[in-house]
Amino acid sequence: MEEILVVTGLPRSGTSLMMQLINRANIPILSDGKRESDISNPEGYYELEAVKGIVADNSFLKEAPGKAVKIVAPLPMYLDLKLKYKVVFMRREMDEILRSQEKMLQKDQISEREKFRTIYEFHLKKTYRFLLENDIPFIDVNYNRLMVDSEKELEKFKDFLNLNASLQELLEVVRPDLYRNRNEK
Amino acid sequence: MKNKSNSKKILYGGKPYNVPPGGSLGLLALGNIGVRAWKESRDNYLEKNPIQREEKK
Amino acid sequence: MKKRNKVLLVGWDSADWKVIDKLMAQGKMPALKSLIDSGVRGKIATMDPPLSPMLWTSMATGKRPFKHGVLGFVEPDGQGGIRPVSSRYRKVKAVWNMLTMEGIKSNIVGWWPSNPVESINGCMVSNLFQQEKKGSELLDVSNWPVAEASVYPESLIDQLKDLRVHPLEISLNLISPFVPDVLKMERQEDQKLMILSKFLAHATTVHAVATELMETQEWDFTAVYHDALDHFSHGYMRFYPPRREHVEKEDYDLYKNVVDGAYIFHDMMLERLLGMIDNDTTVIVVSDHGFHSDHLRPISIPKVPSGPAIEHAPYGIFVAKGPGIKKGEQIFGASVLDVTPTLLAIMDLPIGKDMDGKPLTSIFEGEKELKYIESWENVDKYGGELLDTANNQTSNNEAALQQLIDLGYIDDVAQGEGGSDQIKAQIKENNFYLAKSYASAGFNEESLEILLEIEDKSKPDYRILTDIVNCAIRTKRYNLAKEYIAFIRKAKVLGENQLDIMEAKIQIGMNQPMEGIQLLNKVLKEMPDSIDLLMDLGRVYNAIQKKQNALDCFNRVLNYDPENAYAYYGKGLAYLRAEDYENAVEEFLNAIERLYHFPVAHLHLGETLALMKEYQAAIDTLELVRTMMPRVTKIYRWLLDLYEVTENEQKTREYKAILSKIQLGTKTIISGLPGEKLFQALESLSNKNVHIGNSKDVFNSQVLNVMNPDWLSEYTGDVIYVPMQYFGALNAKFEYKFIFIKDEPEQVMDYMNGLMKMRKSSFNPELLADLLNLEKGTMSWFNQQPNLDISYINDIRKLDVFV
Repeated sequence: MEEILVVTGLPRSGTSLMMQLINRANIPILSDGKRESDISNPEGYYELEAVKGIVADNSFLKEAPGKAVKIVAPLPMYLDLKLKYKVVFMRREMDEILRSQEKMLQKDQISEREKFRTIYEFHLKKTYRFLLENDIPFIDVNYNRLMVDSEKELEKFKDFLNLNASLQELLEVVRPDLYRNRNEK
Repeated sequence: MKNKSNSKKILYGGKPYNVPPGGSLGLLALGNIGVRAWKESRDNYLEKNPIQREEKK
Repeated sequence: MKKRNKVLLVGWDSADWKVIDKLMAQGKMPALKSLIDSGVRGKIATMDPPLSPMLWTSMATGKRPFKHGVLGFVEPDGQGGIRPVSSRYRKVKAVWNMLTMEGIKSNIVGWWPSNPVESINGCMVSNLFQQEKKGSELLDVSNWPVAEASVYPESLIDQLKDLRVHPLEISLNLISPFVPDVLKMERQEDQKLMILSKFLAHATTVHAVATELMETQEWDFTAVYHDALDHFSHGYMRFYPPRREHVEKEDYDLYKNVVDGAYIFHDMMLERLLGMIDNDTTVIVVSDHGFHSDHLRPISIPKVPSGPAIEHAPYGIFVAKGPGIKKGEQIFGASVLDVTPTLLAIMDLPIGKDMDGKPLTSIFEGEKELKYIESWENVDKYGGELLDTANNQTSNNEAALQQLIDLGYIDDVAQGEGGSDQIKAQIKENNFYLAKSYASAGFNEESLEILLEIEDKSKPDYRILTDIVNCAIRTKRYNLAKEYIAFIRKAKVLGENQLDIMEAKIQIGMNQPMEGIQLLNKVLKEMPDSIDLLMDLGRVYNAIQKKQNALDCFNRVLNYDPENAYAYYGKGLAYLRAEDYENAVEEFLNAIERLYHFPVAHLHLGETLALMKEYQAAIDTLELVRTMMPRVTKIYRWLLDLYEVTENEQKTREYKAILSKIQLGTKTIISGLPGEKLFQALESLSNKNVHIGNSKDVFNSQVLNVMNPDWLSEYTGDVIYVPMQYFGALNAKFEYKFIFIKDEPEQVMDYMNGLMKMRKSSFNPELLADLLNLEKGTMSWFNQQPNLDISYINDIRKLDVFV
């Protein structure tokens, strides 16, 4: 695969889970492993420190063809258009994202929920617009469906990336205990 | 070409206009020729009345 | 080759017709009057925010600020600091670049912003040329170097530098025409006098340079911009007659003539310019906004950045005279965006399709042939470049990144070391103007996105918060609006009354007009003389067809502001809806008398006349409306109707042809009294796969945001359900087909009683009266519309025709 596999989506929408799936499917991950896993995300982040500097410097992407990298929305807007990409776009119920974030930040953000909802809507819109305008192939993977209808959602994802990994291997990654905070409404 | 307009006489009712050293709005409204005529008249005046110049400062 | 006619464009920042018309009547502005007498005049609409550097850049590019990139009074210097707004941030071609590409010679003098100057075909002297300050340092007369990059070509510097007049050179002699008692004043170094000498000096310098270039250089186009009127007005309009109570008598007597004096001086300068051109030269005099000079003058200035802009009035002046331009006529509908397209049309050059403005074709005698190109941006010709290319700033999205930094997505690298709070505040301010610029073009989503980016709850800014709420309401994000209203209440940055008004707008938007009205009425008790509030309330009453309440509101407005054209218009609408045509005509005429450029008032006048069978008067009125709002198709349908009735065959043919050419969007509307029959009709349609726009649930119909003039565009579907009470809000842009389900009010009452968990047979006289009223109002509305296609359906089985 010559493309760079970009996993994007809003924070708390299952991007880390997707990185684990990709890892299990033996696609190399562009990662420096700097950030330790923490309690609210036991499987660890697959995050690259250089992504945070993408606005000023996206040269780290030159190392990325054939590898996967997690870049949250709307940062894919700053991708180097001279390179080729495939994008997995993680989606999750907005209210769940907002609740999950509020919980992670451990502060009562109820009074800003609508603000963040709107900002995230804009981030999604911008990212989609960027992908469409630049003809970058992408697939939506729905986190909520991945939990209840895992096989179907995983097949879709496998097809998009032409993965050899067995469905069973992937299903093991999608463990229900990772579906955090869901029933704590 | 430079300062060509400087030599122009300003007429008022067909007669040469006596440019007051303090200037006038009418002169300013004439633009380039007015400003030049005013500055010339003022500088001449200040040359002849150096004390005024001190006072002005 | 045919000799090219010259064009002279004179920009007077802030010039306002109210002051000018008074002076012209006294014979005190003969030069401008001579232009008007042999040319056209009109009002020119400004844009929000009404800030000069943004507006004059729009004037010179034909584009809105979010396209041209000049925002506010200062800009980041790319090295962590800020500097006065410059031409470096302009992202698009200005008219002088276009003319350079076409080999046309220009003189551009004083344009704001135009430093650094550009290497155009011709001469350019920037707005920094007349400045006596370098940064904050006041330069002395004897040591006053010419500002960097302020003259192109640089070889002109020697010729021009002595034409500069320094404020310290302005003698009392020159001040006395503005302040006759200046010699009697005790403190002649009064700050107010300093302002006067400063801007008199600036105006003189700009004018001296313009006259010099016009006299000594070859040119086809000269543009000269004066900011002095704006500064004079901000400094002295409070002393303009009549004196208001809060203005000290002594100050008033001293300064009451300054504004008139400034206008007269500008007319004198204009007279000189007119003396330098031939009869084939086109002259345009234009301002970017007006300036309140009467009872609309604010008493105090808000202490926020750009607070003084509150003194600006929404319309400036536009005057044009020249070969091929009409004589002695008024023109309507001009905007500051139209200046560049109009200049290009005058010079027979193509107009960029990416421009936001339009050529003012109504100024021309006969049909003007227009040329277009996609964009001037891609024309591969030399258009001139900035004289200094150092510090060329390209990234203009610091604030857009701030949010991502705040969210922890990215590192704070863009700000560098010098990113002080003051600079961040300035960047934020510019982005606030950018958001306003988007909103004023109807791009509420874009505006909201920026506003949410710059909003900072630790430093609540009522302007930003207010705009967020308004944008949220306009984009129907009512929960977001409510969240911010709750915050504003907590932060106490806005009065309760203003918050209640916002909440009322949410209620109205959420299809609860009665709750909205209740809230507005509550606020009204506390602010009984708020004209805005009364107008809002009157409009809502008109929208729900409560004639008497609407009339009461508008009458109260007229008590405070007897010249308020919009209030007369509102009354006219109330009467029209109630089929009281005589009164409606009178009120529409009252409105037009006070504000002639009021196309919808003319339109409704024409409609009312038609309904009164005054066919010829209606035709005359509507033909006028057609020139004012050429894109509104309803007018063509009216005229077709009227020409048919008056048996004018030629015109009938003409309008039939026009109508068939205009792509009329047709919307099919289904409605009726909200009873079982309507409910079944909607159900049976959707069972037959007819897509119904809006909600198919009659009783919890989705939010219909009728306060948004374009609300109907948001609904797609084969058939759109619109509750009867909203017919009045149907926009004239579309042609409508109505499917009207006939039902008996008594049965509808029964049905609604059932829904409201009342005994089905219980008689509800109030509900019945409301339903009868609603039906009556709808029938009279139907009768008042031109060429309406209505199918009344008694038996819903007959709906199959529409499937």
